[in-house]
Amino acid sequence: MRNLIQLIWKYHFVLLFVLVELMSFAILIQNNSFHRAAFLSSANEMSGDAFKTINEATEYLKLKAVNEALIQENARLKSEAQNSYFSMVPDVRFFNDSAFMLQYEYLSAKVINNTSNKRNNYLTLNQGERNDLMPEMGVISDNGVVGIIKSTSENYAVVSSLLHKDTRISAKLKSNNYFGILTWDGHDPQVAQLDDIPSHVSINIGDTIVSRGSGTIFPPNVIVGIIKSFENIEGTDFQSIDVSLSVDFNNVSYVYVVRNKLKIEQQEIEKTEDQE
Amino acid sequence: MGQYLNITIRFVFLVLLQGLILNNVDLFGFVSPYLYVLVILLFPLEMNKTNVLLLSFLLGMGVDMFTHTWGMHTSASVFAAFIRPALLTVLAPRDGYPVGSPPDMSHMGINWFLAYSFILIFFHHIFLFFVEVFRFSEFFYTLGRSLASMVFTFLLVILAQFLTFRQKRVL
Repeated sequence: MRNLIQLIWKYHFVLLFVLVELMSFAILIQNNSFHRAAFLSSANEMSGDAFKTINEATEYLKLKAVNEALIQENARLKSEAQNSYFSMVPDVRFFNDSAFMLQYEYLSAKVINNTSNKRNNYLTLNQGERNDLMPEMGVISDNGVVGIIKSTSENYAVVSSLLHKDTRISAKLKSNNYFGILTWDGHDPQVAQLDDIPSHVSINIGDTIVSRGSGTIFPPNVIVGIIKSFENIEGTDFQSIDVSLSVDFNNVSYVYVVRNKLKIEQQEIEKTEDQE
Repeated sequence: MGQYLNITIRFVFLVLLQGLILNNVDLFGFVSPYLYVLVILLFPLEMNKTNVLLLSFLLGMGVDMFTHTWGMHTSASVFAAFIRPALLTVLAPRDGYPVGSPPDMSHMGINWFLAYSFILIFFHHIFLFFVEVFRFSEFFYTLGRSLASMVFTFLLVILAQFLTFRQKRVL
């Protein structure tokens, strides 16, 4: 016993290092899953407050670009509004009735911190659980898909951006509906990779890629980007496609969080199918 | 007492500088500096290495708080604190370190400090970038990114040393 204590004392520095390092890795791995330890979310609130203060000081610099984006968005919405349509058949009118049901709700949020230069990038939003944001909700901007909410605190939410090694988005070709998985290889923050498109599908540079909307996170047909280049992967029946992203991740200011009202219903029925 | 106040101020200042400003610096799209390593570099020589290890753990947590990469900077800082005693032994002058002097440029000389900081930053960054990617499949790309960042951090550390060096002269 005394020998053991002596041994431990002799190597206490190495043992302590191993212990602390294991602890760091435990935190790291825990953080990679969507469920985070409770004690970390209060610190999230602290850094959220700091980012908010900094953001209040710097947002003036972006004001012009933000205004332009908002004006464009307004113009687009106005042109889609009901009173912009001329009725071709005098007796038929649009109405809100029970034949349609609202499936996707959009909550606007401001980006108060954002990176695009890391292998795994995150955005911080100024809305949180108080406004019903929850992990695994999709985030889009008026330019396209931005990312998926990773964790939330009372007033803030952290989003895993599309530029993250664990973000995988189901995307399809707008022209012919063939779908694949969109990931990011960590090189260029403007370019992501679309896999699993069979080589017999004919595609062209400039074709539009949109979200597939098969999961419960994004609505269908939200723009992701356009095809930049493609080639057949030798020895397989698939092609590798580079997609230039429509969102400029260096300059995201305002985003919309997507709430799918039918999410739980879809997940439940898919779960029962899996079990059988 | 003044020494510990110094360490605390440097600790808090560099964590805030890293979290609020340096994380947003990005050269050529992928190079960013991690100047907070300076805190580990400048812990006093007589300080108990166990304390250095635990303080480095807190330092890493502080930086991780701003980047939401819990555990990433923490593990790299702890690793840097672990190899520091061995590095100091290897680099020790023939007649030992002068008593009570911090391991900075003005006390230990430019050559010694360049070697010391470069080696520690090297190990810290290699560890950091490989933990970030968490796989070896992108080996050379990750290596390139860490080397580029390393040079940037190294230049900032030297610059910071020259700035504080001159202040002492003036005062």
